[in-house]
Amino acid sequence: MNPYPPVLSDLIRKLSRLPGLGEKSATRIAMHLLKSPDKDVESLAENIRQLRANIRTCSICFNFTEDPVCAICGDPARNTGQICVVEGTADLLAIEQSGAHKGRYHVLQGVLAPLDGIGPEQIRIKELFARFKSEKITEIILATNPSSEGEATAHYLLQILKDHDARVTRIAYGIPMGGDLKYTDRITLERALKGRQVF
Amino acid sequence: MKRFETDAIVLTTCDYGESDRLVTFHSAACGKLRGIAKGARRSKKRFANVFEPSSLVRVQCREKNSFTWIEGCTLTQAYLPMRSDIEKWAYAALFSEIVLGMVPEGEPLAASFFLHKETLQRLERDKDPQHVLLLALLRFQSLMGYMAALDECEICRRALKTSPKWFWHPARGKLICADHFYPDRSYIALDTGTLALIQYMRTIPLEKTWRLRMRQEMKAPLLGGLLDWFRYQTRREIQSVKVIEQILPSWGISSSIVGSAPVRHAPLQNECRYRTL
Repeated sequence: MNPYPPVLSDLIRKLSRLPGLGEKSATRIAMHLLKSPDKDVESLAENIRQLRANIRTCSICFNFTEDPVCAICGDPARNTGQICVVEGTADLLAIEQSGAHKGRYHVLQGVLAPLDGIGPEQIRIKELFARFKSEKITEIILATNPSSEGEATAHYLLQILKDHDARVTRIAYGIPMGGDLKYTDRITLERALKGRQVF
Repeated sequence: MKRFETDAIVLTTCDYGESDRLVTFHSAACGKLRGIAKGARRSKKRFANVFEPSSLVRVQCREKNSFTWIEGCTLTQAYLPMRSDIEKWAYAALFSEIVLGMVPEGEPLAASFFLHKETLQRLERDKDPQHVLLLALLRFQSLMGYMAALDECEICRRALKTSPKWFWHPARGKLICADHFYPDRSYIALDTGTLALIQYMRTIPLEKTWRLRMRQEMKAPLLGGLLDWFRYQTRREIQSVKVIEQILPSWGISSSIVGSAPVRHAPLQNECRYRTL
């Protein structure tokens, strides 16, 4: 028998569908919401409603934004010739936080995944090509994840971009800062050694 | 509580619960194997780089309460060059999808595992990946017990060598001679040589299979027929074919692998040949 009232059970079930949440965490969140002040819970509900109503993708780079063009694409100080291609917005945020990239982005909104039926038409590859007509692109930085799908997507982009004048580069592979060699997997070690540079 | 260790190829992975991963393998010891890797999404040390699709791994499992828990996993071969060739990578995914749909869970079928392993090795280094895929699928169909005898007409019992033209329905396993053929898109037109080659392939060891050479014009109709067989058996579409349809035209390669060609008739003038390298 379910010990919770139907409304609470329904909320737990819906929360447990969110990525990274199991039933236990969903129950914890639901209980926390029950105990929270009305003002906080209503504010959260309003935020979720506004998220659905106001957030859209940038018409240029497909990053999430409230405006037709995101803050990065609208920033005149950015290097417009350099485009960093990432899988999703979370990757874009990670690179932005590093402060290492001063150019613009292109968010693919996914990677090639044959078993899920995700091909080039299901992600924003066509839109990347359209940018060559409207922008003067000098470099494309492929920053997809070094997973099987991310690697294959990067190689696919490399092949279809070879007819364009832009320089195509790939982010480096290697040991993370503060990492420990003895705990590093052999593929990462092998690639780190292959990609070594003069010190 | 039973513990075991086996060689396996990663087929798919998906998130499970808060930090776990549900991984499906094609294993040597127990056919299709589904296990939960506890904390795999959180820990980058315990399961780093081991659950990438089409990787060969050595997996340690524990069975408890009808669940399989993955206790450890070591990468044996990642087939990295395949990731830099989208065609080979997509063919590996297509073969994995067919294995996923056809290999039963928990039933040991070592021959199909070794075929999968050999297919990945061949795809990695062969210059004609489409041919590797075709041979692998023919061998797989035969291994799974779905390939008909292919030695006589199903209607008149006429022997293979007495007619140059034959029509094969891979999905239903029917073989009929030209005299009994009626126009039907699901049949593949084949010559006696190709059929003899397929029969010969069933009798030879796996390592010799890759030496066989099909006629170029036979590859597309045969692949299409084998994909129809999979669709017929599983009653579902093949997701990776949709991706291959999109990828191959941009490569400048004909999208002939896709089973959407209206009639898969191939010219019958020349006999197919096989050669040993």
